[in-house]
Amino acid sequence: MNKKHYQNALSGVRPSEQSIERILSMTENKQKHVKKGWIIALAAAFILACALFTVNAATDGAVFNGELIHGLIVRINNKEMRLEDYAYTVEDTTDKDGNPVVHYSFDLPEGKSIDAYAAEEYTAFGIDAQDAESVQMIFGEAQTDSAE
Amino acid sequence: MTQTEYVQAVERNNRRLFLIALSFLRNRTDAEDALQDVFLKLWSRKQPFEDEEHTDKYLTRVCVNVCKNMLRSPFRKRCTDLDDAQSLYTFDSTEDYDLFCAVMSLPLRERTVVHLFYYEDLPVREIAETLRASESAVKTALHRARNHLKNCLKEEGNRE
Repeated sequence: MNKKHYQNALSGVRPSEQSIERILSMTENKQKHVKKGWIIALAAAFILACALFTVNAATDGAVFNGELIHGLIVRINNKEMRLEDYAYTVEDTTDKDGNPVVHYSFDLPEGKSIDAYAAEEYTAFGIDAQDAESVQMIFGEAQTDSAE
Repeated sequence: MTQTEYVQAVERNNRRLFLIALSFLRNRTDAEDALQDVFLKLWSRKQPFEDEEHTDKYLTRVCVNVCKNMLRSPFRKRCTDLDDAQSLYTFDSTEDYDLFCAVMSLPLRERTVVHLFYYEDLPVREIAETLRASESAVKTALHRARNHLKNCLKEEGNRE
């Protein structure tokens, strides 16, 4: 047996036309997969949006109004306290220029209390802490140092 | 890869890869399934190819891997390995048909080595690389295959 002989012997052995057509049409199927991916991504975005609206409604608009206080940390005399662990009252007021300000009043242990004033999107804080040498409030990226 | 390049690669390689798959799987349906899998991998590939030779080498390598995986698969429960070749393919002569059947009756390693050496015209070193075997293993398989084929074809000749 030589190479030429073997190659000639197999000249009639080939895949069926249908299988070749199937292979050539696979590029169209691929495009369908891409569309499917987009549908999944859109569905995920829709579910996320629904979840946000639900949470927003459950918290009286806190999500979209930026009033959620989760993660609000106060350091008084270098002692860290998570404020969501303590009872607080919220009051909508205005500053001296008439801008809307949210006033949080926290009751801390040992008779201490903190008044925190968070302006829109928490870019500014005003803090009064009784019997404290230093107070630091952290909300997300914003940090304010205040010394009594 | 553009659609035109893909179509060209399919037209250039489909027969060649089908024969490699057939030499592994000995079944037309499985070989066509393997072929589809190979070209799906080609179409899904993100990295570009340097040239046609690079594409063809990649396809050979993928085809061998796909066939090996299919043989390993526990779900491959086909009872009839060897098709009725005479009804599926056209052979110019009885000798050609006998030769095809003789090669297909060889053990897996021998028939793949014979196919890659005699049909693909690959040197022993490249066959070893493609099959991930040593060069001496390829030479041994080739030697055994030649002896098997000699005996097999002699028997066929005597029977006639």
